[in-house]
Amino acid sequence: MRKFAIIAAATVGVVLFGALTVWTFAQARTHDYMMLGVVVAEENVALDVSDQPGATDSIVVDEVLAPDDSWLVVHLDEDGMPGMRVGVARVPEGVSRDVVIELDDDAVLTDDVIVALHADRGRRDEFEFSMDAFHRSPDKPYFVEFEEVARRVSVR
Amino acid sequence: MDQSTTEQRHTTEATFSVTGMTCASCAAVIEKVLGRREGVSEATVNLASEKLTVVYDPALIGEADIVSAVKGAGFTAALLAGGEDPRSAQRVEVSSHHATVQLGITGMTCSSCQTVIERSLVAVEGVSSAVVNLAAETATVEYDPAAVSIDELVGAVKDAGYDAVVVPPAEEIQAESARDLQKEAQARHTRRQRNLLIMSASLAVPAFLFTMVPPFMDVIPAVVAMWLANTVGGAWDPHMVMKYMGLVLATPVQFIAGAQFYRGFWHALKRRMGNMDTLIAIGTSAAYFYSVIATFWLVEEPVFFEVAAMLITFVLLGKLLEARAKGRTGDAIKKLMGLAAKTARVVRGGQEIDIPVEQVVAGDIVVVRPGEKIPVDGVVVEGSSSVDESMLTGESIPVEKHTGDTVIGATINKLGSFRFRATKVGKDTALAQIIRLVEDAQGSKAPIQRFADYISSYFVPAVVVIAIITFLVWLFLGPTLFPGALDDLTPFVKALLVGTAVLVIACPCALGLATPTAIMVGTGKGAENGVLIKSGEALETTHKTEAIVFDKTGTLTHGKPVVTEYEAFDDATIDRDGFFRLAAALERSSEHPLAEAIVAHAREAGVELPAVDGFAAVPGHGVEGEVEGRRVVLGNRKLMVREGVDVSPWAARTEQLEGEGKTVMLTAIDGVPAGLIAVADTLKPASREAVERLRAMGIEVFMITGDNRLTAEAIAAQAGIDREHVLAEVLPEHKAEEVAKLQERGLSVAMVGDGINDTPALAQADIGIAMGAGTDVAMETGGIVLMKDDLRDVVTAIELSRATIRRIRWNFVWALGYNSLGIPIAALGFLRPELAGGAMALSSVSVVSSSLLLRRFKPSMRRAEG
Repeated sequence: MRKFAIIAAATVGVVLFGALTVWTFAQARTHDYMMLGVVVAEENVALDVSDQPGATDSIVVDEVLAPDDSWLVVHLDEDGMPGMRVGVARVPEGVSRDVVIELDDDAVLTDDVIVALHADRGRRDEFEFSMDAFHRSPDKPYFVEFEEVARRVSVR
Repeated sequence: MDQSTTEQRHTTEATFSVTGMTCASCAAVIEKVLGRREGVSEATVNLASEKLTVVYDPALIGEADIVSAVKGAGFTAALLAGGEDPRSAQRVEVSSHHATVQLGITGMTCSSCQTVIERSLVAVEGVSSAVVNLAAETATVEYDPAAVSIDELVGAVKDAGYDAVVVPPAEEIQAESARDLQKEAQARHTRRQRNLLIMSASLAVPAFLFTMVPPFMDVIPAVVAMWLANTVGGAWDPHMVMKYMGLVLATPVQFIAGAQFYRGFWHALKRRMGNMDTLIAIGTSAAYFYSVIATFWLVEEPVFFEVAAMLITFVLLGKLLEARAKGRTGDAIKKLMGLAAKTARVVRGGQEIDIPVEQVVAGDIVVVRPGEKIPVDGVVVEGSSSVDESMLTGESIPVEKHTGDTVIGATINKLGSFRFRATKVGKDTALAQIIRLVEDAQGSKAPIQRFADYISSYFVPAVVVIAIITFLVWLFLGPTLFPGALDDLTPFVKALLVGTAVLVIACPCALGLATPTAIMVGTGKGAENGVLIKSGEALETTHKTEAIVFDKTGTLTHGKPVVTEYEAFDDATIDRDGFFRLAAALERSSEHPLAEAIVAHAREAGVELPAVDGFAAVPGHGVEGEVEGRRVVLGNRKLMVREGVDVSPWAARTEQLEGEGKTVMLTAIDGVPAGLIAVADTLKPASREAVERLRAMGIEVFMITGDNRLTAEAIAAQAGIDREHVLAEVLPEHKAEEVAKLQERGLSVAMVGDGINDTPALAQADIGIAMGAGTDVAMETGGIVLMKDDLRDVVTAIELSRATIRRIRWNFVWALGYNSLGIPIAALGFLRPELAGGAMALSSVSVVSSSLLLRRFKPSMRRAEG
């Protein structure tokens, strides 16, 4: 009886592990888990930015709901993906309105810029994020499911 | 129990089972701790059998104190046998945490008395529970022997107005329960270790997968992070979730499964010693606590929770495998124990009844039918049969048993039926003695073990120093010395990982197992082959044998004269068989040993012996009498001269036979020379073969005897022993001196005798080999006892000893070589700590498995099957 229980438990264990392995590999093929930033539920994060034609010095975020102390980051558009970083602004947890993000003086803006919301989990007042050291960067972008919390803004 | 009195001090010896030891250092800790206690004159721990033997003065220290001291060192002990401490003699169970004793209570009248006594006992400091049984008038008390003695418990009952005595169980029950206790303790320990292993493996493997193995390390933490975000709320970084998962999974492993390493470390630290626990505790703690820091403070740094968890898991796995392998080293004892019969058929009140073997008493008439197991030792009183004694002696040919012959319990009756009178029962049977002897041998420490103990005592501190140096070198010089190694890690993390790997790989666990496991298998293998080796020291000494001295009578020879030839004289009036028939008939009335040989020979040949009239013994000459109306005389030359019979024509033949070491008896019938009968103590069939083999093994072979040189040299020549190696005309009391003379030549001498008149010589020799177990004298004499009178077993004993010592040396090479290679490999950063842990654990398994290879030992001189 005891032997049977051990064999049964071992079998269940092997089956579960097998199932987990299959599922994990399937998931890894379906989504890019490696570059997933800080995950947050949809209702706990929001980012609302209007197009701002002619903007050169700053970008104004109409409203942001940050799940924690966070950074608003302005990227140049690099073939539809967030490119060079041209401005950051820190926002506290909760709702903030009309947040102004100062842009770098020498920044040459693309037609669109991308505004993204990043976590602030490293040293305070220091934006610590690098794509080259994604996993070791504390201030990763927020994601809802597999969607980065970011908005494309036209500045032309 | 072994007690001795030396001068004014009275010492006693007790054996305890010990659980919780992991390596030789643990054994050293216990020995050191006990060695420091007043009253303890000797403490010896056998790591393989997990037994502790203590010689102590009971006036100064009790067994409870010893148990308590072992507990203080971080282990658990339970009394197995021996001792005379009244506080433990009645013990039902003792562990490091509590003891249980049963008190007989008198003076109780009602249940309130019961309550009063229970409360009185529980009020005593150190008592954890007290249950009084009113009907049985007993109190079962669980207490801490370190805090309270039995006298105080008895005092508490008396203070409450009642009387108490300790209920002493019967000795056998105590011994049995002690054995059970050890088994239970070991089984409990193994069960607990197995459960801990299951727990730690089921946590460590996921920890490893989810933090180290893609795509698990990418997908699982991210999925968990999403789940947390959607259920708990907040924001979750999968990378941090991975760290938290590592923390959650590794923490129980570190502090539940790994608690034993912290305990062992702490107890060793208190005594400024180191052991395997020290290395594992430091190694896993370094990985674990660094990871905690990297989880909450240095968040950008990687964590190594899986290192700590996997390391503990591997060590537990290794220890369990080792325990299983160690269990097999004791198979010989289990086999011997399994030989004992369960029931016996005895005659009581004129009826045959089946009873448990424990109920057989000396003097019982036991009935044995074909195919049955003989339950106890005894002497055949009726019937005859052949008995298979191979299970005890290794002799494959069944032995004929007739009235008057002894039978040994646990052997198997073949075809006949017989009855025998039980002479030895219970713990006195040969089987019980053999088991005791082998158990003692397996629990004893061979001198070669001192080497391992010595190395182990310095190894751990040395390893800690090496690990610290490695850490510092990698921290400060790593980037320069090893620029390409472990590229993605910071110098601190690299140094931490490499230092941890060094700590873990260098554990000397295997070293501590090298000797005792081989001794256990070796002595067990000896028992299987009818060679009882009484101690590890005897096993070790035997391999050094350079000279071997055989006692002649009863050792090289049968020890009983037999007829070698009989011849009718040429001009005799009677033929060869006819004269022998008359001579044998005449000798039937004589009690002389030579006469017994002639009668035995006649019987074996199926000769019908006629009646004798007027028999008379002529002292110093021979015998005479009338057989079938003819006057027959049989004796030496003096008798022939007295009878006026001229035997001079056969003088040359007579002298020739005497020159061969034979005794010649002349026969005359009706005054006419009829023939001669030669009688000699003949060589055992295997003696020559054994001597040749011993010489081929490079051992000088000697024969010692009280016989005259002529006879001695004749026998020696038959045995293949050189004339100059014959020590003849040596009185029994001088045999030891002859052995000593050989030792003075620098030879390591083994003496082989029957233990009857050569005890001093057996004791004088470096190793005494007594032949013919079953006799108490043989069992008590010498370091090795051969179960049967076959000299080939001497060869087997030496071969086994050599094989065992070779195995031990190989184990040492394996264990030390493993450490010597492992440390530089780990120090150069080629080994992750968890792999080092696995390798370390497997090294112990390898050494035990290496010892188990001894089970394949086969004596070179295989006996003819039959």
